[in-house]
Amino acid sequence: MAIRRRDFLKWAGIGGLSITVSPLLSHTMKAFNILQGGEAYAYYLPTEFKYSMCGTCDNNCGVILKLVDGVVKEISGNPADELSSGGQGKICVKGQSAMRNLYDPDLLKKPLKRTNLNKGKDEDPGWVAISWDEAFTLIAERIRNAIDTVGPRFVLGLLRPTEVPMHFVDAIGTPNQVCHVDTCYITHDVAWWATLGVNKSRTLELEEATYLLCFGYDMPGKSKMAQLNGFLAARGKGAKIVVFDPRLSVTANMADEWFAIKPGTDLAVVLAMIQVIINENLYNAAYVSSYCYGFDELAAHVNSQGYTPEWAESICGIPADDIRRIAREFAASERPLSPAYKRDVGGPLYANSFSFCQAQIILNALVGAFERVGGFWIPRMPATPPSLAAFAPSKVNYPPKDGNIRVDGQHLFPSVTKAIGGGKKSKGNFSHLADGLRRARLGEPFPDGTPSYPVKVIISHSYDSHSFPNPDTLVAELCNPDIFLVVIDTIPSNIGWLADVVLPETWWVEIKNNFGTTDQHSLWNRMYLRDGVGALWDRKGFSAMVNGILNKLWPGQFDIDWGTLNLQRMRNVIGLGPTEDPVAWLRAHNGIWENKVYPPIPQNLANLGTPSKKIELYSQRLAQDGHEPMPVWHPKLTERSAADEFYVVTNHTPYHRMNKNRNDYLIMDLQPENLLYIHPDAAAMFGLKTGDYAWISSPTGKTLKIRVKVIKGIRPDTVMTEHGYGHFNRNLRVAFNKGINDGDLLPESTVSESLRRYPYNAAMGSAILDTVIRILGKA
Amino acid sequence: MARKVLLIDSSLCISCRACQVACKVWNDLPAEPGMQEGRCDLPPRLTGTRYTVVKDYEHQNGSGKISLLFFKDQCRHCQYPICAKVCPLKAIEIKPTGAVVIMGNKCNPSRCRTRPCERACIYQVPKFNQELGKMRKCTLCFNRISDGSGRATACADACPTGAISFGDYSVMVQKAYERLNDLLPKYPNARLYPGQNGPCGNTSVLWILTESLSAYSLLIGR
Ligand code: SF4
Ligand code: SF4
Ligand code: SF4
Repeated sequence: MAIRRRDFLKWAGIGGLSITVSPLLSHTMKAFNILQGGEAYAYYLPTEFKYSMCGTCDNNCGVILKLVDGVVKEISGNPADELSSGGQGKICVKGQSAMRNLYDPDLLKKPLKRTNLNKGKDEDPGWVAISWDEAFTLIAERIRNAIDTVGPRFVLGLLRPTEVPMHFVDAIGTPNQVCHVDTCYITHDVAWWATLGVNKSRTLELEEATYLLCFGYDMPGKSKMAQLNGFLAARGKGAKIVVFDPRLSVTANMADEWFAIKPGTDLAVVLAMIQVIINENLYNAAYVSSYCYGFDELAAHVNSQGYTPEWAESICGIPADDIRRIAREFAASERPLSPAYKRDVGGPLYANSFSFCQAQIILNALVGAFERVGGFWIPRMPATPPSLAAFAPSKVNYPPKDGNIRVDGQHLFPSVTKAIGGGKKSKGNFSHLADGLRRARLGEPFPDGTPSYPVKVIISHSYDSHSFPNPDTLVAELCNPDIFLVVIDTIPSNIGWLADVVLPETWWVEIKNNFGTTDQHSLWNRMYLRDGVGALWDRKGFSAMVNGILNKLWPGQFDIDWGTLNLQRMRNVIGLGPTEDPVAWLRAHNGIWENKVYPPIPQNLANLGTPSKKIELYSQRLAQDGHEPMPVWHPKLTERSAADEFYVVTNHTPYHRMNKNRNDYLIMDLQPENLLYIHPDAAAMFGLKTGDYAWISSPTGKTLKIRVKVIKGIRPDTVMTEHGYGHFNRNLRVAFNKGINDGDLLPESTVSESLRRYPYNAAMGSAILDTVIRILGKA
Repeated sequence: MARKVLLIDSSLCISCRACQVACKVWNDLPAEPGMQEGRCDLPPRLTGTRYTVVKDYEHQNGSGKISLLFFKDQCRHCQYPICAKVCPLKAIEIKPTGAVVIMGNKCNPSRCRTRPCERACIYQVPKFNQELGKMRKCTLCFNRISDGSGRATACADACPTGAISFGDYSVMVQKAYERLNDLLPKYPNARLYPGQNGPCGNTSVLWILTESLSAYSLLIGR
């Protein structure tokens, strides 16, 4: 069936989650009226423009919503936002997708309760709509029951480490707040903490760099506006760009040189480059002597270990001469930078990724790239003070935490705990979760002998089992009838299909009277107005849900007026008096408050949060916790051992933001399945042509059928596929059962495995791509 | 309103297909389920419900270097459009901007039967739209830019990289040549497309390509 916006009317009536037809209908009627016959109708309808901040991805671009008769008809970039799109007023295809996400008839609209007590991919949950009061009562009863019979730690939050979720788990008193960062940026967090004394930074000024040395860094290919723009600006000004990536990414395609590196061997290249730069005296000596600690140890280390370009060539296959030449070019360039962002090679892709991440920081430090124009900046966040204590001190009288033993085993990794705020924040570990739940169910102790315990209630916010490596093991654990699962999201998710209660949350386009900040590319402090369309249907914001649940448990005790608090914080940041209206102020100022400090200040490096107060090329903190203080070469875990085995790399399409816009019919139209990209030589072994289907099997023994695209721009020993497909929630009528889930190809890790890598795995990264898959043949 | 040009600089394209989606939104076109055309099953094609499509090609040059080439296909909007000439119902009009538009109220394929516009177009652009029972193609967004708001086409507004730009004829032609000159040192095969001196005259859509026409499966000389 062809789907278009005017078909919403027809869609609204059929099956699935469209429980309340009437409010949906009124929105749909508006959309219908405007859209039939094209835009011409729009001209005599009232038009309004509103500022907001895109929340589809974490680039958080400033945007302008165009409303025609109350319906969002267009989302464009805010030209006043200099950082996301260089003031061009452009946003990416994912951000533009948000208006279709907003009126998606499959959206969650009312709280839902499961009536079929059997859980499984093929079990229809038998949803019935319930009131918010009923939902809060039900959830509070389960939490109360867990706290009273066993203890607060038996409640687990799958929640991001931001203010409201942390308030929620702190009020409950559980140590278990698990989030996705071990499959994302945990390595960056811990490596930055170890070398620079601050958490991660994605604050990099690409546009002024004169040399970009990229390891799997494919932000342009994911159409992330700030990085895309910075990259294009640098390229436009003639920066030299070199990319190491097993496949020809969009970034590699725009580069001057592309090296099809063997997956998991980038560390060898960087170690050799460090050696060349030190031995040939190419480093920025003044910078190193002023701001770096441990240079002599590092110099001795790379030489005693024999990290020469010839040694690196024997590991990664890239000619020693090229490694040497690029190291020299890089160091000689005026403003060289090796950029990093979350899940590139410095992310937790391989067992040696933490060492890589640390080595990449060292490489940047040797050329003076921190706190320099065209370099990495020490984060300027937050612009808003963490304000619970400032504005509502009586509400933050939290109970003591119910111990520190965590289901995901984070307590066994002290560096992680310290790096992410000395235990104040919990970031936890997606890929240990299934292992933890299994251990608890079987009553097995942790490897260090501490006892485990079975979780009773799980509250998941805006996460999906789909994003976990090997999600089937987690799905199986979540089907355990002893676990009460609450899922909060805007859109049906796979984990939601297993839930006992589903709560519908507002999408970012709906958020109003609020603000957003971002640390992703925040070269200076900014605050964006969020002046959206208000909650549609019977949806609520996350903070209202937290209040709703906590008020049932402890009436009034943790009740925070988040709305008033947000306005106070906005006044505080802008510097307005108590009676002034910050929303009006922001509306009058292009929707953005900012405090532009430029250029960066090298003196910021004079007092870093490391023990030496300098950039630690030799990390005293890592040494303290029993890790290698300087990066040491370790091979990846899994080597190819047969001709039908292939390394696997995964990627996001430029049009998908993980799972968030998975159900957009126009996006699905672009690419209805994910593909297996494979080299012609490998394809020939199996007689595969573009368009064929192939059977592949994962290291965990799953057999999957995927469509093939034969390309020359990939190593013959490597295949690539894309994230964001293979959904099993039938309420996603567009996305259901299209393509495969790349997570099904990847092994999850266990606490014991992560501990085995402890000396060089300070960040307990999940080594998510450190595997091989098998091609079985043509399907 | 004066003659306009839509300039597509392939060297800046990241194949994100924001343009393709925005075109569907502006023209209220449905999805085309079941077609694997984004990145597989080449060539993806224009249809009666898809007025523009980003095609990708993998190219290997003489020295073995592999590159990805992206081509945003759509109507070229010719100065002397042959489709308009052959339409027996005179349903195809040339707007002051240079847009060549199939007028929905006049087009009636059940009367002309053979769809001569599609057959005559050297780029095979006009396509039959089943639902409307009419021929359809890119309109150069004549109904978007004529409202005096100074907006560009939907695809140009949506493009995050600046690969698509829209403006007055002479300004844009000059911009195209300047850009080409900038690119030539790095891309010695770079060129403008299509040729401007053919039987259909010059065009209101111009491409800057980084490789030879054959690398984009485009017909030489057109
Ligand atoms: S890059 Fe795209 S999805 Fe991400 S915040 Fe910007 S517009 Fe939104
Ligand atoms: S000019 Fe308008 S109709 Fe033509 S391709 Fe672009 S958006 Fe579509
Ligand atoms: S929107 Fe621009 S960058 Fe994206 S595919 Fe279209 S032309 Fe290319």
